[in-house]
Amino acid sequence: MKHNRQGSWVPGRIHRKKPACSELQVYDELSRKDPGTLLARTAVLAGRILLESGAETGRTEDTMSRICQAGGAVVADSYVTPGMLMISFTWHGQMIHNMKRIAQSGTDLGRIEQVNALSRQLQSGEITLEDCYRSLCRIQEEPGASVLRMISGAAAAGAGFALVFQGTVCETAAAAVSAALCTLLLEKLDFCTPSLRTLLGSSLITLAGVTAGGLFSIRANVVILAALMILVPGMLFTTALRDCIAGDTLSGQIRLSMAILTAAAIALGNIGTLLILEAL
Amino acid sequence: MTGIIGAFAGALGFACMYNLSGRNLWLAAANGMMGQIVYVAAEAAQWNEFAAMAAASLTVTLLAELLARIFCSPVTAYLVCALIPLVPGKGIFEAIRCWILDYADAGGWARLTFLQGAGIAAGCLIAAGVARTLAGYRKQKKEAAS
Repeated sequence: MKHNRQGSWVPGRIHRKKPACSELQVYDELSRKDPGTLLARTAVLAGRILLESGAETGRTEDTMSRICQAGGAVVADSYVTPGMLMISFTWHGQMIHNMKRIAQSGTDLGRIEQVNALSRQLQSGEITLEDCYRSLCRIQEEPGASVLRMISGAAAAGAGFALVFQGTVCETAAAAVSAALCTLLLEKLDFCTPSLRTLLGSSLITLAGVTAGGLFSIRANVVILAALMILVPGMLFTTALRDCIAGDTLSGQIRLSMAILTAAAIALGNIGTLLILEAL
Repeated sequence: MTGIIGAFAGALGFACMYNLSGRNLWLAAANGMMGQIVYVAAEAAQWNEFAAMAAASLTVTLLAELLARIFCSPVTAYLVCALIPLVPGKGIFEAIRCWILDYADAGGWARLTFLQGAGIAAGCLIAAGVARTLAGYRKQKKEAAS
């Protein structure tokens, strides 16, 4: 058991394993036997999807409480950190609690948006709790952004940042290719730890930038810098800042630590590769 | 001009990677471009790095809060991708490189990066603080009325 882990942030796409027991099977059993537990599971599943997708603590707690209230709970309290979530409420005189550990999180704004829309619909009475649970199960089992979308997005971002750093056409193309290669590598290295993936991605970009610089007589620094931007934990920094502003300082500090670790892995991969290349 | 187009492409790329689609994909990219326009304009007006970054991040955060309320979407959908083009990546990279290679410029780059980073944080803090206070005030007023 790893009770002290606060979850880790994964660069690139999160690879979701198919659950041994489908949430929909659980739904069929629960809806017949215990509607109160179904309400708790719905709230926790919504919170889990939000946290795994990189949502702020305040948004996750708020969504869980809203779902419970829409389902008829009297007092709903939720507590969320980046590594776990808990919900406690009273339903027809019965106290119900539920908690969930979150091992890994990434960035999927599309899923945050979908869960947000569902909770609004549930609160306004447009959908029932059962519909909400079924939709959440569907969102949970969706694979997220495709590999092609990730690679083309990374290439566009790499090219864009090369232009921001006043790169030439050749440097822009090299940055796009380096960023696309890095994303492909991150995709293939899903068995590695997140920090190692980031470090190796940063090394690959540095190697690709130096090679392009030598082959085409372009500025390697611009290529490396533009392509490295795709590894920057921007979502983590932004969410950490928003958590701190909202008063969730514990979650903010945890996310800030994750962002610093990721930034250290990027720096280590980049500088380490440059120093090794210099020694050769 | 290339910097502004680059910021649009950069934010669009991140929006693709972060699985945004439809209207929100383009709005997030346009917000990123707006941040860069404000930054370039502030630099042209010879504002210091802190003020230029604070103005850009304030604009981006306020726009994200506004778009989120108009389209009933999460603020992060418009904010994250738009803030990334402002991240002082060049400063961080150059500061570490100069420090490792023992160049004299390391301190200067680190100072510039710190000022830019602090500017982004200040802009975000002010805009998000104002938006939250206004939202809280409206909620309180609504509850008092009902």
